[in-house]
Amino acid sequence: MSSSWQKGLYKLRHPEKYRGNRTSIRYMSSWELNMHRFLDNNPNIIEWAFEGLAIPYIKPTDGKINKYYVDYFVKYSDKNGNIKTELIEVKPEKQTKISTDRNSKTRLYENLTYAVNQSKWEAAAKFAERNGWSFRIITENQLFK
Amino acid sequence: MINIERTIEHPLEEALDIEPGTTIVPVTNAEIIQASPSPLYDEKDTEIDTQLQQIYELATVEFNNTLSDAQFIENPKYRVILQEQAVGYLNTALNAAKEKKDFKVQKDKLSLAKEKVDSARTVNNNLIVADRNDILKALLAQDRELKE
Repeated sequence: MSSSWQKGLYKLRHPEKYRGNRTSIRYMSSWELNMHRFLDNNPNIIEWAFEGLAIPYIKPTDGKINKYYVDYFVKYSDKNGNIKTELIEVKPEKQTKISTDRNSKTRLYENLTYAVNQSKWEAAAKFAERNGWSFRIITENQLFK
Repeated sequence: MINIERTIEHPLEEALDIEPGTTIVPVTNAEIIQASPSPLYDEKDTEIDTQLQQIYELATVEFNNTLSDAQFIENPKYRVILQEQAVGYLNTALNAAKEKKDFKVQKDKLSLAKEKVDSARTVNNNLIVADRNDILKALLAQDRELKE
């Protein structure tokens, strides 16, 4: 069985690359574990952090300012040797689109989540731009090709 | 246990435009010790054992997949449904493992009983080491041999 329970604390193999508390890096799914392993074990990744950055955003459902903890902060070297810094959010493809569920209640719930996510991602994209970074959403299509 | 490292091509390398095939993964190769097959195992037993193993593996894989999917469901109602389904897979895996264990226990018992009977038949010139029933069986066998 591959890693019997997909939930727990990630043990770093290259702690020098991690920015943040190295003893409490959790993962809640096999997707997060996959990302953690990739970032930790690829030598082109210079620095990374998990949920280490809080970005303020206005929640559309109540109009209040909330904090959005973006999944990953990653600094890496691409194949041309350019150093890039990105904020990465890992989400299922389904949650990045407007819901077309047949059930009206489910559709309403999913579209509310979508609207909140859109506000978070807009704030993250602006934050990244201000710092000369970029923001991207990674779905299962990129993660498990 | 032998710990080695190897490089693999990770899908994220393409997504982030990173040199392909540079992700290092640790590989732990466990030394597999082959158990000598029990003489009591026939082809049917092996088939049953293989089928149970397949059920166990399928159930554990599905358990992991369903539980991972459940993490991304924000609606608690649907998350619970998926988690319940995951528990169902875990029960299936547990039952398959139990069946395999019972199967082995039964075969071991039969094997021990057979060994006991065989050892009781081996008679030293002066000494027989066996329990009362085995001695009686051995004597009966000797009687039969003499009569024949």
